[in-house]
Amino acid sequence: MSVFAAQVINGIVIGSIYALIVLGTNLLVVVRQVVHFGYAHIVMVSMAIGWLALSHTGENLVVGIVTILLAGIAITILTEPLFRRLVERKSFLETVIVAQGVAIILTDVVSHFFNKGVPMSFPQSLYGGGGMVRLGLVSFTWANVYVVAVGILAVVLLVYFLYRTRQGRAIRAMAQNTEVARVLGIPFGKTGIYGFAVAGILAGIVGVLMAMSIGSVSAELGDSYAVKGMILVLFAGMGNLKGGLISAVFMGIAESMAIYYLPGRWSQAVFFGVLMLVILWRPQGLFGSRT
Amino acid sequence: MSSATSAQAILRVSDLWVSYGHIQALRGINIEVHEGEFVVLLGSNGAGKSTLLNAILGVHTAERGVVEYMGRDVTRQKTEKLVAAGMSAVPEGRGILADMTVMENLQLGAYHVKHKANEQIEKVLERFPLLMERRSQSAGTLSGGQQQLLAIARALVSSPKLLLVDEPSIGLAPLVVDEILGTLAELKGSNQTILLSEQNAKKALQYADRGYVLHLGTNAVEGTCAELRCDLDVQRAYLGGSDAAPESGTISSQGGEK
Repeated sequence: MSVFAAQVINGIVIGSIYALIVLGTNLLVVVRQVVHFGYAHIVMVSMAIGWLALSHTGENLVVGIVTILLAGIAITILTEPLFRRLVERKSFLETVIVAQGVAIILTDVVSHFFNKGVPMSFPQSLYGGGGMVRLGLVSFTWANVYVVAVGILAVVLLVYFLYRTRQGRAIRAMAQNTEVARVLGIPFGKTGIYGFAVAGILAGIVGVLMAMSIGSVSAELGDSYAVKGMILVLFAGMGNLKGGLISAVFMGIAESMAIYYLPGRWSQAVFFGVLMLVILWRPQGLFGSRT
Repeated sequence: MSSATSAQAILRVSDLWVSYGHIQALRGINIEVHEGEFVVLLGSNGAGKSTLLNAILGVHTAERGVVEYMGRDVTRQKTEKLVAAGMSAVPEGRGILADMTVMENLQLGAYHVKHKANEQIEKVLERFPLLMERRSQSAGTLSGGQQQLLAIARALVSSPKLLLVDEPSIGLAPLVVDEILGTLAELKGSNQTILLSEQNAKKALQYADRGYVLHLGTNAVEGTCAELRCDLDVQRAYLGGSDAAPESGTISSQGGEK
C-alpha cells in the first residue's frame, strides 16, 4: 500500500512537471499556432546553463535558480522571430520543421560544449538536502513539495495573466481571430513576444523544478520530454490549456505506476499506444472541441 | 473631391491603388471625409468598398496613392498605430470574439486607451443598455443584431476620431438593419465622424450625409445622399437599380435576408 501511495506521489510530481511543459507548449500553440518541439530542449539548455553558473559560483543557489529562469526566458524569446514570418504566411507545417531544427541544435550544443557530454549533477542543497517529510504511511522529499506547490502557483498565475490582464486578453484575442485582433489594433509582433516571454518564464520554472526533482541534466533530456510533451498536447487537444493540465497529471501518475508494475521498457510503448487509440477515437484530442 | 473644403478633412484618400496578387482591387480611388460627417461607400459586391476600408486601416498595403489622416500621411502606417491615433473599425462580419464575454470584447476595444479605460467602457455601456445586461455573457450567445451592436460599441470605447464600419447589414433582418443604421445616425448626431461601407444602398442613403459609389475599384459617382437617391441612372447602373419601386420587395436580394 505504501508503495502504491509513494508511486501516486511520484506521479503527481512528474505530472506537475509535464503539466508545465504542456502548458508552455500549448501557450505557444495559442499565441502563434506554433507546435514548438524544441520547447523542452529550451528547458534542458536552461538547466545546463544553470549548472554552469552553479559550478562557477561555488554552488550559489540563488545565482543558479535565477540563471535557469533568465536562460529560459531569453532562449524562448530568441526563437520567436524564427516563426513569425512563417506564421504571418500561415505556413504552419514549416514551423514544425523549424522547431525540430531548434531542438536538434540545442541538443548538439549541450552534448558538445557542456561537461564533455557527461550528465551534469546539481548540488544536493538545491533539492532541500534530501530531507524527508513524513505523513502517516507515506514520506516524500521537500523537493517534491516545492515542485507541486510551485507548479500550482504557476498555473494560477498563468490563468490570471491570460484572463485578467490586458496583454493576456490580447493574446487570447489573437489566438481566436488574428484578423479581427489586428483590426482592433492589437500588435501582432509585440503580442507574440509577450506570449513567448510567458512561455519562457514557464520554461525557466520547469528547469528549476526538474533540477530539483531529477537532480541532473543531460542533452538527451530534451528529446525525451519533448516527445512526452507532444504526446500530451495531442492527447488533450492542441491548444487546450485545461485538458493539457489534467492529461499531464494523469499521465504522470500512470507512468510511475507503469514503471513500478510493468517491465520498465514497456511504459513508452503503452503511452504511444494509448495516444493512437485516442486519436482514432477523437482526432481533436480528449478535451479538444470539434472545430 | 468636389464638395470638400480641405481644412477639416479627417480623412483624405488620393489616387489609391491596391491589388491582391494579380487582381487589381482599387484603381485610383479618391475620397474625403470631414469632421462630423457620415459618409457611405456604395457599390456592388467586389466594387472595392471593403478593400478601401482595409487599406485606410493599414490592413492592406497600398501600391500607389496617399492616405492622409488628420493631415498626416499614414499610407504605410501599421494598423496598431492608426488605432492608437484614434481610428476605429467595425470589421466585416462583425468580428466579435465569440468565445470571450461581452465585457472582454469591450476591453479589447480599449486596448489602446491609456487612461480610464473602465470609465470609457461604462460610458459606452450606458448607451447600449442591452449590452450592459449581458456584459458577462459570452459574445457568441448574442443574436446577429446584438453582435453588430457589440462590434459598434467595442469600436466606440476608444472614443474614435474616425469610425470605419464595414457592411453592417449583412445577414440581418430589415428591421435590425434600420436599428443599426439608426444607431450610426445617432452617433453622427453627437458629432461622430463615420465612414460606412454598405451594399444596401437604399437604406444607407436614408441615414448618411454623403456617398461615393464605387465600381470595379474606381470612383463612379459621388454626391449627397439626396442627390444619389434621386439619380435614377445611378440607381439603375450601380445600386441594384431595377428597384426604383418601393423598397420592401427587393431588399432581400441585397443581403437583407435573415
